[in-house]
Amino acid sequence: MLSKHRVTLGLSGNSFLRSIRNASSKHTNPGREAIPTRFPTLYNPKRSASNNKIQLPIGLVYNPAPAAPSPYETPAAFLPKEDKRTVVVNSEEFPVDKIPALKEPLEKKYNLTEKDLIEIHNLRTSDPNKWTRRALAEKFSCSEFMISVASKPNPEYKKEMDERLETIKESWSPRRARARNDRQRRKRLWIRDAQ
Amino acid sequence: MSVNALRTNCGSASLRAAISAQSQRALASLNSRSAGLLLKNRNAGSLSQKRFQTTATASSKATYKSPENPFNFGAYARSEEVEAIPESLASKIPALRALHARLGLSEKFLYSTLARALICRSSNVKFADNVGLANFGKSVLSFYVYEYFLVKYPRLPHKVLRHVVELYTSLPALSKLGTSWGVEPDSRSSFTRYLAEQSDEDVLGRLLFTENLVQQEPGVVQVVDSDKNHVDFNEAMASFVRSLVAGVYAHGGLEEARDFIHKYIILPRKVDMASIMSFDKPTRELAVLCSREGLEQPVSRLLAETGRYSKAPVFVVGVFSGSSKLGEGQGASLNEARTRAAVHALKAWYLYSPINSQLPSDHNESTEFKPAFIDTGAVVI
Repeated sequence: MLSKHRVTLGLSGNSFLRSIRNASSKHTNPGREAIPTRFPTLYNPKRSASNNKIQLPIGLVYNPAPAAPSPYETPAAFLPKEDKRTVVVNSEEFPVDKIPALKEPLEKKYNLTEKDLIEIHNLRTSDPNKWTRRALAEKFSCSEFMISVASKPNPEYKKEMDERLETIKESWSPRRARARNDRQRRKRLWIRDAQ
Repeated sequence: MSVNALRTNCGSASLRAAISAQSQRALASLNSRSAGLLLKNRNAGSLSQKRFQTTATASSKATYKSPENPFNFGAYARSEEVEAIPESLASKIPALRALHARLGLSEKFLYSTLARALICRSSNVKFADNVGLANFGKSVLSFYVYEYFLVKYPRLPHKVLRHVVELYTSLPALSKLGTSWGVEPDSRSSFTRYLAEQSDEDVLGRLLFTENLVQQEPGVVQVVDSDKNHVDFNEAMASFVRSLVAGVYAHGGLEEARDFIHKYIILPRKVDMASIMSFDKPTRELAVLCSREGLEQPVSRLLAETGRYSKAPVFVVGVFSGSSKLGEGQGASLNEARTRAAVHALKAWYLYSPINSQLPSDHNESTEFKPAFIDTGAVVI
């Protein structure tokens, strides 16, 4: 195998052998495989690691920047029926059945009657200390959010709670107050999806 | 207001204007003659300025003559006190010719119209001002800017749409535009212009107005309340841009005015609509939107994450309706990423833009009418 690539220079009878490497071993080296790249290229990340020049093939190469998607691209589900553009959805990109949900959506029960709602309202306003949102949610087997939609808190109780919260806030150290303030400020950025 | 009240109002205004206009010239000349003497005494100087202001008020009221019957629209006319700018004069002014060429206005657009568009009511010159032009231009401008964005982004909530139109047609925005066209302002009072021995003809081609900032002494500036006699720089410059739109309409018609607005005011600037929008309860709003549109309830799923137990974790969450992705968000907590994903999805809904949409004003006899997309409206939660 090796001798194939060596040329013997026989200048005289007692001359020693000198070897010159004059042929590429590219085609003879087994085990060379194409390494998958993010976009089609002649560049091989392993073999051509020292050659940082990426050789693109001739023609159009679609290689979008690895950035967050833009809200100006309307998702397929949001396109109106009369819109003629077609969005090709690659169903393999996000196999939904294999990605668990962060929060399973709750089944809506619609179990409360008008009578229940009146009772919730009465209980919550009459004895707010006993009938908190959680207690009412347990009693009527619904969510706490449903209780807040169905009734308003007792105004006196709410005022008292607000005052208590203010007292707690006053006792915060400047550092804690700043940290809490910053947290609110960051949340205001979330709802704009701004950085 | 009843018709009678309107008539008496108009009548008394025109009467007052006629009386004051007679005395106006005499007063002005008197003031200018005694100017040299008055300058020595500061108090007396300010007194003379005050008198000048009163004459300015009189001149602004005398710009137009109202007829006896206010509904006789053909009888409204410009007062004799106010002169029209002769085209022969305006076409010889280098500043006007340069501005005309720089803006690429058509040959039909007269130099005298351009000169008039630069004269604000607060300036005390004998020529007609741009108030009528500016008022008309303002309406045309807001109409076409509204039309453009209403058709381009048909789902934008009305509040956002109004804000976007405001960004394009507000005084500071138009003023910035006018300044970028290289319009030179001249806010000197007529008194100062007289001292510099410059007649009304010499200052044509500059933006003429009296600024509401009065320099009392070096380093001290007094802000006078904006009224007809004192205006903000932005207000004056914006009135020029609006008048220019009206001028293009007057000489070229509605089509040209529309093209002018598109070419010079809407298209050169780009507002990032996505950064304007904010949603108080994004997840709930998205859920309501999906149920309204008959889509499956939105579900958030974690797509990628790194450094969960580190100081700087990153989570990428996608929000899905069934198997189709609506939005994607990333954040330092799962809650943040989930909220951002919902906001992203809502933005993607509201920023839908139909392809090849045709503006209603684009339609003419030769083209087939293509109705604009009309949306059901913003989500109510």
